Amino acid sequence: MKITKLLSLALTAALPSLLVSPLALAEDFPTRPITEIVPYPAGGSSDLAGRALANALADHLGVNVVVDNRSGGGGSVGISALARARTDGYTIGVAPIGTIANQPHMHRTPYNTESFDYLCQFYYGPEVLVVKPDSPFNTLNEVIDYAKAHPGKLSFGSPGPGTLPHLDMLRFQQVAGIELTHVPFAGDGPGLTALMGGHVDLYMAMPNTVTDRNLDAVAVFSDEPMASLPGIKTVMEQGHNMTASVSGGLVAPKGLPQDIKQKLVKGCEQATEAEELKKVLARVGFEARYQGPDEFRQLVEHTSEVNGRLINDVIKKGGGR
Amino acid sequence: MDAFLSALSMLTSMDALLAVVAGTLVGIIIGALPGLGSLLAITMALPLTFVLGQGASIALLLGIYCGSIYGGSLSAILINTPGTPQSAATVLDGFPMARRGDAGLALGWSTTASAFGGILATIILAVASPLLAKIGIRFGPVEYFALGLFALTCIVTVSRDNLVKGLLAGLLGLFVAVVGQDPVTGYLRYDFGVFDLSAGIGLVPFLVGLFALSEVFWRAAEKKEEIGPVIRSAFQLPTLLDLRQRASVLIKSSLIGTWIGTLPGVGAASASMVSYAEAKRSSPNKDKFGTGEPDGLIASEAANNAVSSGAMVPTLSLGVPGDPITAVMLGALVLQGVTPGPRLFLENQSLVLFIFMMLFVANICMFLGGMLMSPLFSRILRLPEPLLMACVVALVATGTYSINANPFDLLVVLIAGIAGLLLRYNGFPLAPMVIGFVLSPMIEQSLRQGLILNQGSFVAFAASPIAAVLFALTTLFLLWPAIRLIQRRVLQRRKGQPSTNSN
Repeated sequence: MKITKLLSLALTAALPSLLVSPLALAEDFPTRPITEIVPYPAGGSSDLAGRALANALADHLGVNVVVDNRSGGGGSVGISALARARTDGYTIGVAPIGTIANQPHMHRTPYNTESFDYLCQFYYGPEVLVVKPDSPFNTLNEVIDYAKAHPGKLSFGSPGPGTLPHLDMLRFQQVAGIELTHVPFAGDGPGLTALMGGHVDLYMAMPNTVTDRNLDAVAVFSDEPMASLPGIKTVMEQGHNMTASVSGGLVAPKGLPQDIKQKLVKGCEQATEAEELKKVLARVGFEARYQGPDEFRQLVEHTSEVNGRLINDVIKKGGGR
Repeated sequence: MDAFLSALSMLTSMDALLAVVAGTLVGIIIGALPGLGSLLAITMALPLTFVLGQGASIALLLGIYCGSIYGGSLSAILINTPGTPQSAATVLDGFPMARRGDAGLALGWSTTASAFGGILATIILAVASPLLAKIGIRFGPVEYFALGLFALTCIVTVSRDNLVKGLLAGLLGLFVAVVGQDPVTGYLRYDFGVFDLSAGIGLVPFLVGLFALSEVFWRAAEKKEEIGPVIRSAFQLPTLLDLRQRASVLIKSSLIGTWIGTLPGVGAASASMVSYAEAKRSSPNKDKFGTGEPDGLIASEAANNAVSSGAMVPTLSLGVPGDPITAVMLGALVLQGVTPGPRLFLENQSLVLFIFMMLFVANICMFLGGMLMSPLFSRILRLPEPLLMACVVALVATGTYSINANPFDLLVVLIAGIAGLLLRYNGFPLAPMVIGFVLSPMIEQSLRQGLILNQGSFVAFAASPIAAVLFALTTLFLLWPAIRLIQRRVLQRRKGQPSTNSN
């Protein structure tokens, strides 16, 4: 019968969603596949990083690591699902630092920095200040001088209000003593397009936008100049004391049994060494950089403190531009 | 020439051809199932690309992409539920056609229009993509706002029975999309302290509830209607004569779709709305729109399939995905070691050519696959109604849940379904609500970005030539009935007739 065939086809297509398995506690952790929540849609840079890590982790732990994309709310939907998950080590998640450190200050979230066991940081990328095509600016100080003479005249795009690049630009304005106009977009895609079309003047982006999209950068916010960006000076070299980066790591809901946590931390440390992970991260503009559980937790807490202050003092008083 | 030959050899390899055929067929099925959209289809295939080669991976994804967008029209026509958001405008005329007994012809038109739109767009792109990419980035906030406003005018066209109720439904749609984070300040709006509302209301659950579930409720609430022979014809391609008569709509809609596809960030759902609005403005059969007019169906389907090719332009040439679906495609390409961006066209010409050829092949597969599979789908209507409705409920629920595994989405489906039923019961058209909902984020964000960039001045909006043309079109479209009325009066007066025309 054609109709039954059709129905069975339909069911087969819907089946993967039904395969959420409960069951089994750990003695020889892990004995079944691990779910890795990625709080952004498939295909984005966080997702690619997360998928590469999942593959590398699977090699070290000997079970499948299944990526589960749960997007929405600047990543807060997926992260709160993670915070609510069981503390058996079978649900872990990729936490971009902005989602975990900034979002709780932006609005009410069912989690804060205390809700997690931190496993490791595995990716990092310094931010780069890029200018629109045919921009007259070649150095950071030219931008600053112009902005001082014309307060509010220059505009910068961001992937959204309260995101790391937005907050880092707020910080930069305070450091440099200038005033810029903020134009938020719905993610880097539309934002960078607007920069390329000359609709905004500046954008805080990842290093690969310079190499892949031929954009001009005036400064890189790293400690040291980057080999992949010859001729582009750091902010420090240009006389201003500031660094800024995007990073993220692996977290689990708080209360993981100690031995399971150790296994996951070990797995993450080894996974960060994987060539494949390094390659994928490099393609999306990050580099593989391992930090242990304590360092990662401290980084998140520090970011949360600094950005929480910025959010309360600047954005919530209507000065987020 | 070298690039061309190596692209051709990639194309004719066995695994690439197999992948594109399989991808298209799977895409059609997934697209036709309400709630399971292109995005889900492509993400599901993503892990497969880790094991396939570069050519086969790209072929598979392109096949799924084209197939799923077309597949959405099948359920739009047959069960009044857009299988994918891109087919939201297809419902408007497709379902009335099916209800009239012309389901086979409606499927024929949607298949023809989809394939035509896709193929024409691919040819244009193969020739003009670097140029189109340059025009695309000239669209800034102001231009996007003007485009969104123009697309919004199709609310007028789809609420023919009662303009006031249509406008109210449109406003409601615009408003529902406002729930969640403010795109500029980040403040929460209308979340009522419920965390899940802070991420806004998802397009898929909203659409699925509003159309599919309310249809189920409606049919359950309805008194026994004569069931009769629902469809006499299984699948019927339009005649050549018909095709010639409607060629202008077909071509124009494909061009609109191609062009909108090249604009980063607009997407196929809005493109089919714009195309529908334009066809309604200019078609000789415009009075019949909304009652099962093939032109309306063609406008939507040709445009949304043309978008799939068009959207590859900013994706490949700028590295900027046009919508979430191309974002996933971009990710898949990156995983295959291809970095889209301005350099791709210079450094890897054969791959770009291969992608365009593959799009061409995928569209042909889609046409054949559509002919093969739509008779199968049109049999769905012969299922006993209670069984069909139960299947719809089960499918939309699993489909919606599978996207984010978030039970809250199911609640949205239920509430949207009840709201849809209430609206229908009181004679409000549902289409304007969807139009408002789809366009709301684009209109709001671009308006506010534009105001920020122009120091709060509206006047500056008209200074952009592109926007000015779009504003003029919008005004013309809204005033058109009035202009016609005055024209007629003047003519009548000249003829010296008293205006007793009861029209």
